[in-house]
Amino acid sequence: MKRLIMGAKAIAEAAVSSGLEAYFGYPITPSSEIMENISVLYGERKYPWFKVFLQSASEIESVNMLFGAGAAGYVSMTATSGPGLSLMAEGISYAYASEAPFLIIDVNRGGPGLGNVAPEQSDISFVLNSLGHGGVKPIVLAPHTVQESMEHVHKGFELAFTYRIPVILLTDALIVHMYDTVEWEPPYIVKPKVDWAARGRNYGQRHIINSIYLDPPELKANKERLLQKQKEIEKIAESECFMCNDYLDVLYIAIGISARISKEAVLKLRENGIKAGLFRPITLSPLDKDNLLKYSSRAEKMVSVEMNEGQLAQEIMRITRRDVDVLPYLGGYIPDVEEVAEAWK
Amino acid sequence: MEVKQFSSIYENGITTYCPGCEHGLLLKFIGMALDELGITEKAIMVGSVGCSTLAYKFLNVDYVQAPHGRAPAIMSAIKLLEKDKVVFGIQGDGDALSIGIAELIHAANRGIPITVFMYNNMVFGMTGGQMAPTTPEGMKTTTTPFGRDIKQMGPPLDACKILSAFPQISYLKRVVITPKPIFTKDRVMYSSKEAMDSYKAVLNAFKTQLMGGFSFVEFIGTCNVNWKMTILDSKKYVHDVGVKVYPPALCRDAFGVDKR
Amino acid sequence: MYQVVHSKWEVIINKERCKGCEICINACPQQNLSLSENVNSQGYHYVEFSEMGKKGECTGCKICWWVCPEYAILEVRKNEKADYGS
Repeated sequence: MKRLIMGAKAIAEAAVSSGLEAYFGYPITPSSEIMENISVLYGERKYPWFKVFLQSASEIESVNMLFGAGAAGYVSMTATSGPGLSLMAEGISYAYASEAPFLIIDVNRGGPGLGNVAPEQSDISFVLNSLGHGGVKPIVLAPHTVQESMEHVHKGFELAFTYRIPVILLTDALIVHMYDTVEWEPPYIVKPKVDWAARGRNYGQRHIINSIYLDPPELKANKERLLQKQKEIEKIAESECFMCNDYLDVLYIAIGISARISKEAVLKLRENGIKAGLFRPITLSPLDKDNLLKYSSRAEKMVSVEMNEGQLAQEIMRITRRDVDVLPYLGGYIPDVEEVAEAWK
Repeated sequence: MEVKQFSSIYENGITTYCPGCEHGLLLKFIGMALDELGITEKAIMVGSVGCSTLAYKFLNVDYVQAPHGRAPAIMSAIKLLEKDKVVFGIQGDGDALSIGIAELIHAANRGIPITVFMYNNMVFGMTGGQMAPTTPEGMKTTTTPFGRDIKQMGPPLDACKILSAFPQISYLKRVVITPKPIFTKDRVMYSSKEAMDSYKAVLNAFKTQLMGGFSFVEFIGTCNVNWKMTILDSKKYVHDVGVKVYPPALCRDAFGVDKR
Repeated sequence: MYQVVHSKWEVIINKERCKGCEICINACPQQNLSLSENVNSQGYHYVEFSEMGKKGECTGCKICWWVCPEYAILEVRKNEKADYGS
């Protein structure tokens, strides 16, 4: 049954109904509503698996509590924004190297520095290049509607435990605060099998969640194991190409709310006979390289529509080795359908 | 006749600490206490950055390696989710009182029943002997070559005093783990009282956790390599200078475990 | 006639763990422990136990076991080779 719901509330319900067992968070605008909505669901009888809700003293404490929960094999999550994600980088690096899973929702706000609380997409470079020291590549999901955000929370929990890796859900202040129609129930409760988790020896082998390897051969072996895992994770890459049937005059590239607006622009251009299409990565990391190369080879020109100076374009240029024009929106401005449609020239 | 072994200590495990350091003594007592209380099979250890990171090669229990200073946060999360397990961690004085003081204070304020052992050797040991928040006034370290200047850096931090402010801590103790050298006219001997007191403290800290309370024990020990002293001189230094700045004290014992 | 004397107590040592810090050597009231001429696989001169020390036989006080930081002194136990009563 379709219903009208605010993004934050939808994400909160999706998380708890999908099997969230522990939430540790710190308030930061514009993500606090997610934590507030989850706090209300704690203790409800229909969610008996939701064991712990704790507001921590800082983002540093949040991410370390997530690391502890992941090390013990429990489904855990937090929601934060840019400044908080910067603080969590150390914890994410440790979790990536020690293979402890959790989900972090980044509600992108204006940056860098204190910035503002308007929506931006300026954390793309941060989460894609290395979300922590030493080469950290978590899985990054980029929903563009509230319903997709709910699906991605469920998918995020599943992927985190399948690959034992931190997962980042990259959304923005607008999607989390907008009201949208959704119709979604979790297909199943995420209850992973965790025989590697540190829950005590229990008369068996000990479990070690560790990232220190003092000898170079051991550290090399650990990194190679993580790189091999990255290769396997490539299989889950997903993307959507909107109206990309044949030869394209212009291929727009966008994620999140920019993608939704670009879809409108594409429809407008098609009405006027211009062959426009939109490539929307669903998994930002791993990026769906095969489809990107396939669709970009059919396009005369590529334009990335993003709420930053061109961070997604950089990634696309690196993969396709072609120039990508950038339509930037800085400071919290939202893309305008007319401007996006004009940009194809 | 078979030699008695502890299930919590690797049979061929070797401690990789400097000769004369009492960190190995702390690990030995933790292993003994876990076996004596029968909790080895449900123990989870959280190691920190510093010399305690070497502990997992010696103790045969479940282990999570924490970032610098963050062990109390990780321990709190694990204990909240696995209530019937025994969660403990070893930190250095720099780990607990410098970078990790916010995590320690908030974990202590919440009073979630975990056990924090802090090995206080008044310097940052693993990184080569830099000044720590617990360095006494005037002590020379690699970053205070002229002695600690309390006008700029303030006096050394006292963990017991800081943590006494929190009402939900159940066991707060400071012991000296360094054996005291006893000088007679022709030789030097060592007392074993400090070692026995430390073992009691470790045991009681675990007992407090089993009774549902937060326990914190500070051990004053040596770091003879970074203090640039011989083993004997470092033991003397602890008992001449160390105990004056950090006298052994039982700052809180809410369940009365020390009296039993 | 030559009579073999055994002390009532003996100290079991894991020489691979010993780092030659000599705390136990100083701690023993009877001076039953001494540093060996040989080295172990870590390269340290390790400690050796002799039942008859400079000041008498081992009394099983266990001070060495309490103060050893490496758990190289594994156990201080009754010596089964000791002569009891005869």
